[in-house]
Amino acid sequence: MEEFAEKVVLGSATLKLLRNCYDCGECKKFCPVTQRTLKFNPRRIARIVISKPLTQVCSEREIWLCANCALCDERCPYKVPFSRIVVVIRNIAASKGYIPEDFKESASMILKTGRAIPLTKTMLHIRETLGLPPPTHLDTADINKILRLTGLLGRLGSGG
Amino acid sequence: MEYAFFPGCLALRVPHYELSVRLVMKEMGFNLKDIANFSCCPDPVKFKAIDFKSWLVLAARNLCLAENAGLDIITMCPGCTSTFCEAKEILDERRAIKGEVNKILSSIGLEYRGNVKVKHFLQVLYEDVGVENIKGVVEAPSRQIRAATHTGCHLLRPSKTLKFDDPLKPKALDRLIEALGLESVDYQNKLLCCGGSLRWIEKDVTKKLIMDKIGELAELKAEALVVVCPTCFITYDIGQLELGIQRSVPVLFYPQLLGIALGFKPEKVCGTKLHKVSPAAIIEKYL
Repeated sequence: MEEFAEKVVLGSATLKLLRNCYDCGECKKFCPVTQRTLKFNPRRIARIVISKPLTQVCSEREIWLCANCALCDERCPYKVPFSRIVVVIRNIAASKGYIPEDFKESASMILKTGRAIPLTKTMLHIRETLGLPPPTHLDTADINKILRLTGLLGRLGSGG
Repeated sequence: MEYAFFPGCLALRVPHYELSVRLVMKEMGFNLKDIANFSCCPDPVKFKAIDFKSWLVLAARNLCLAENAGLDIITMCPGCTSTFCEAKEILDERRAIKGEVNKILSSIGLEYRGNVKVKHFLQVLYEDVGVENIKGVVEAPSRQIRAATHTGCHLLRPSKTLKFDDPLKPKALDRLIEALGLESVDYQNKLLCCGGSLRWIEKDVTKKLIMDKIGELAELKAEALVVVCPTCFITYDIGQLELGIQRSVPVLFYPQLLGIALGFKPEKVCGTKLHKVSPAAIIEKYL
């Protein structure tokens, strides 16, 4: 079954753009991560996913090291939207159970509370001191309902 | 003019930023309304990577809430801005995808129609208010201050989606600090990502990113680093403390500087106790 991200991001136009990759290395040249670690190489990943199924790289830790700065998208002379492709690969990886713990915790927090971070008493106190209104009321019932329909619970597995 | 205010989850970690945004936007004539039941945008890095469908549906839900209130959205976080811009792009261009999303939203009585516009307040100040109008209402500082700007990544790229400023040569934030009488320092690492999203998963890379950025700015004797993003702020502010960087550069949010220039007391807009690298000296000079 086609991964939703694949369907949306790699809709006909984007898939065609992926095949434009000319192996010029501009993405690697400007990538802030690859400049600072051997563990991540956008050029290498792009070359793999052009000719092989996207699932080929989904078990690798490397795909989680993109910083999402999208300099590659802007710099690519052939308009390959590499930062979007990383999102698709990550979604496929997540559907197969490959999710870094840190990412899983963040998603679980949103599923449980509707917020990415916990709301603490200290935060409420500081807001009051500064004269800020308390955070707006958030009823999670609706969020829970739609996230059951999207299947997030299943994707997060026991962590959800 | 009334707008739905979308502070985003990270505002809870940088309440002084939220305060400065509320105060300056009100002063500039924008009535920011709080909307009940806004949830996480949701986050365009971690949540979007785990489940794109859930990400899109939650984003659409937030847009619906603003739409039902009849208001466009003003954000203060580039992450939220990026989520809403990308979600809108997909929903507005792909009818079948919109249909799928609306089918799920109908279970909670909502329908995405696409009438809501979303802008980060920086965009509102630059495009809708304009540099000249800001110059007209502020008092320039008495002394020359050299500050470096960091617009960050999510507000600029991919440019096809964000449609703001120049993705590779950003200048909006520079013009806006110049409008306050500051000198914008040009530097090589201007486009360098803060690495915030890698802070837990590959901390060595984030460390290097922080050191490269701050190192160059310290070398150039920049007196402050001006940001418009909670993640960039946290990364650079706490980051400098954690890394024990000796030649530190205080990090300030643009609306804190604008607030002081508009006449607000620093204690009011700055919450400087909430900065790990104290901006006290530069604020003193700026007054």
